[in-house]
Amino acid sequence: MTRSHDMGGRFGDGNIPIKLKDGRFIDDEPVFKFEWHAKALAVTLAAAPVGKWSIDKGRFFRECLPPLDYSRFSYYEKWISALVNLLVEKKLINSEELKNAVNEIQNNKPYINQEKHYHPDMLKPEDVSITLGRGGPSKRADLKKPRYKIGDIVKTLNFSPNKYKTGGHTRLPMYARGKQGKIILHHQSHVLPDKSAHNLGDGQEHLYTVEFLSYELWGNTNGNENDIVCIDLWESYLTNDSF
Amino acid sequence: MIKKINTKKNNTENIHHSHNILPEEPELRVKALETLLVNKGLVDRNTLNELIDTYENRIGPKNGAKVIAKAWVDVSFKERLLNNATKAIEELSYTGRQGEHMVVVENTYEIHNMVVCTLCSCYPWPVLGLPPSWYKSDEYRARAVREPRKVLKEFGLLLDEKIKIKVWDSTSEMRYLVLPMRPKGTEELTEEELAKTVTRNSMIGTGLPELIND
Repeated sequence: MTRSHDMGGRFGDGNIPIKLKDGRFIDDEPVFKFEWHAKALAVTLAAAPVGKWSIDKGRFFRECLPPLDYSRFSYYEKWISALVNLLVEKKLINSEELKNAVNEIQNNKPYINQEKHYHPDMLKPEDVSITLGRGGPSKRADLKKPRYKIGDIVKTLNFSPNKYKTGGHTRLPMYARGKQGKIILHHQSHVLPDKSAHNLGDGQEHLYTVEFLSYELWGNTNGNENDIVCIDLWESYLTNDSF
Repeated sequence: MIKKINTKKNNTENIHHSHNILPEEPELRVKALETLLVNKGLVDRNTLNELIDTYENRIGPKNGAKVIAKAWVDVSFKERLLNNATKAIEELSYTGRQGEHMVVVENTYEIHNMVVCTLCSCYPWPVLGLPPSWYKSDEYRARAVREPRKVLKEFGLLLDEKIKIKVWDSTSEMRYLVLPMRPKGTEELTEEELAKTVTRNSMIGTGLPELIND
C-alpha cells in the first residue's frame, strides 16, 4: 500500500492553479507569498545540521503526516509540521516546551534566554553560503556491478519495494508498479531512500532512469500513445526474471 | 507483556502527530517553533535571515536562463551540458543543495520534455530557485504524468500530436532541467538578450521561450 503523498495519476484534481491573460501564462508570484513561508523554509533548512536526519527521513516524515493533514496542509505547513515531529523524535524539543512557546507568544511575552548555550552544530550565518553550495550529494561508490544496462527491458515490483520496514519510505510510485519499461540512463550508485529514511545506512544501489510508454501505464484512454514517462528507479525496484 | 508492546507501538505512531500540539494557524505554528529553536540555541536568527535572502534574492530562474542561453550560443558548452550537466553547470558556479546531480534534457522537433515530482516537489534549486506554487500543487503532481497534453494546454501550450512528450518524474536526487529550442529569429541576439527570452516554465517544460516585444 501507499500514503497520501503518492498521487501521480490520481483522478479528482482540478485545473492547475495558474494565472493566464489572453491565453498567456502570467508569472508574477513572489518567491514567498507570506513571511511565514520564508520562515518555515529557513527554520527547516537551519535545523537540518543540528538534527542530522537524511533528506529521505525528512521526506518520510512529511509523508507520515496523517492523511487528512497531508491533504489539507499547504506545502510549508507540511514542512513545519514534519519538522516539529522530526525534532520531537530526535529529542531536541519536547511537547512541554512547544506548549510553553505557544503560551508565551499568545500572551505576547516571548521568553528570551539570556544565558543561552549554542548547539555545537548550529548553522552559523557565515556558513550558509558554503553549506548550501556543498549540498548533500547522494552518489556513492559502487558496491556491486550493475545488474542492468542501457536498453534492457525491466519490470517494476508490483508491491512496495521497502522490505526493511512495513509502510516504510520508498520512491517507486504506485502508478508505476508492476509495469514494463526500458532502461535509458544509468546514474551509477546512489543512497537507497528505503534504507536511508529509517536510519539503516546508505545501502547504495545502482540507479537507473526507466522509460515507460504512456500506454503501459494508463492504457490508451489518456491522450497520446507516443508519450512517455521517465522515472528514476533503484536496482532493487526492478526485475527481469520474466524476460 | 502484550500490553507493553502495544504501548510502545502507539508511541512510535504518535511521533507523527506531535505537530498537533501547536495551534492550527500556520503563522503561529512557525513563530512558536522559531522562538523555541532560537531560545534553545538550535538555530540562529541571522542564519534564518541569510537563508531567506539567498532564496529570495540570489538564487532563481535567472541562473538557469544563463545556462540555457550559453548552450544556445556555445556548441561545446551544450555538448558538455548534455553529457554531464552537473559539471557543466558548475562552470557557472550554480552548485549545491537540490542540484547535486543534474541532468539536462533537450527539446527537439520530435520530443518535448516536461518535469514533475509526483511524490513530493523535487526541483533543481541552484538553477531555478524555489519551485512556484503550481509546481507543488496536487493538481500538477497528480495530473502531469497521466494527461500531460491537457496540463500543457492549461498553460497555453498546444503541441502537435506528432511531438512525443517525455514527462520526467523526479523520484531520485537527479534533478532535471529542460533545454528548450532556441526561438526562431534570434540570430542577432546576444547571449545576455537570449537569456531574457528563457522563461522559468520553458526550463520545466510547461512553456516555451518568449520573445520580448518592444
